[in-house]
Amino acid sequence: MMRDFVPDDFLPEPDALRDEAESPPTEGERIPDELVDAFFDDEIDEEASRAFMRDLRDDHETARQVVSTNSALESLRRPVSTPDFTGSIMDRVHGKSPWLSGRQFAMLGHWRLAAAACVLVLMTGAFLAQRMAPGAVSFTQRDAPVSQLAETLPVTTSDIARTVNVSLDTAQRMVTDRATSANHDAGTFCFNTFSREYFATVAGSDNPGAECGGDTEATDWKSGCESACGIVRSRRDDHRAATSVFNVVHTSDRATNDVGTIIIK
Amino acid sequence: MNRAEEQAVIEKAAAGDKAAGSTLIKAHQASLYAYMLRLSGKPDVAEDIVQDAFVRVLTNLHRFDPRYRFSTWLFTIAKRLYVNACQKHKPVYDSEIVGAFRGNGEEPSLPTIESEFRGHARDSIGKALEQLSPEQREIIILFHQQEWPIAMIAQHMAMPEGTVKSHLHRGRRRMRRFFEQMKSPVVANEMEVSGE
Repeated sequence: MMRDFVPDDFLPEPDALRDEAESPPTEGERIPDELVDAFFDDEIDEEASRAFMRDLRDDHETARQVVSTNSALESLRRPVSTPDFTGSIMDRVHGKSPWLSGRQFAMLGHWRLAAAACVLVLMTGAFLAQRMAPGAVSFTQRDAPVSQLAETLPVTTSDIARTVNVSLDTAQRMVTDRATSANHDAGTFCFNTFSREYFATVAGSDNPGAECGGDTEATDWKSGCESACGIVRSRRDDHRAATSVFNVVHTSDRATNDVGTIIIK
Repeated sequence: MNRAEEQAVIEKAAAGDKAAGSTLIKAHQASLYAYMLRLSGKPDVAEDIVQDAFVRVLTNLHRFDPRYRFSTWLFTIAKRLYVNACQKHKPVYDSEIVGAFRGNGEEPSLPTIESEFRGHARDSIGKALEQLSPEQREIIILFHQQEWPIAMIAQHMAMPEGTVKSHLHRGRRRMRRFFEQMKSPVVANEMEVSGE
């Protein structure tokens, strides 16, 4: 790419050639950088190149720079002692440890061992804890009681939930004297029906506990519910909050059952 | 190996021919190693990058676009691996480097490359290259060491040919002035060694 030359190029040229060349720079005049660039880029023809060499004799500073730079750039092209990577590369490509160098693969091995050890320790700890205190270690989500849910709900929804709890307390008091264990299912059913009917269609249900009819205790309980829910019914406008409460209660079967149990007791 | 022959070898290697894969490695490992050695200034880094680049290339030969040169693809992957390696092993934290950060996310690694290079260039040409910006350095290596044409460098560097030439000229002028300031003792020494 770049033409070869040695400092001998600066020897005087024959007069004939000098006459043909472009006019050389006068004493003290510098050769333009563009001409030097063109020389290194090999973008000047042979004749211009000879003229350039002659000009360098009168521009000692540029000449020194050109010789030094040319020598350095030549050294870039000298062959470099290169290890043969063929074997190691082919080993990696064909399955020994794809994508990773030996050092990286060794490090990955250590990480794998460390991760496996951590998992083993955790599993052993969980097993021992379960043996010592059954139920202490559980990875399943538990249903929360209605009262606890009410505490964690947003303010508006929480108010509704608290009102529901108060209503249910009222209903509980009204059926406590008559309740027997046989009413447990009826109470739970009524609660479910009541909550679904009321909260799902809070704006339209005038008789949310209708399906609880036919049983004395249940009817009384129904009356209690209706009475209690009168408080909630006054919040009909807040359909969104009531629906949220219903969803919480409805999805918490255990909480619902607990409430039913409380009512019966 | 001309381009047609090389393409045939690439297709064989992509089909699982180990001999073809070895041929590709032997054909390009010396030039890639020389390029990475000058770019990084560290033989161990150059060795790792060369091997990683070939593994990447040989396991992704089906993605090679024959419209381009294989060497361009290989060098581009090697450079990306080098940039990533610099980012991993040499975090940028000194104030000078932070000041030089360009901030547009395009080339966050270049200051890191700069610091990486400064510490390890030891020979005369290395010291001269040390004076250059990363772009100037890489372009000078590709042009004068790899003898790539300007158009190919422009493709590799993802910049217009005029910009490549501008970097090349500025870099070379900076090298000239560096040698002038040094009164070229190291170059003189190299010339003696090489018999010039």
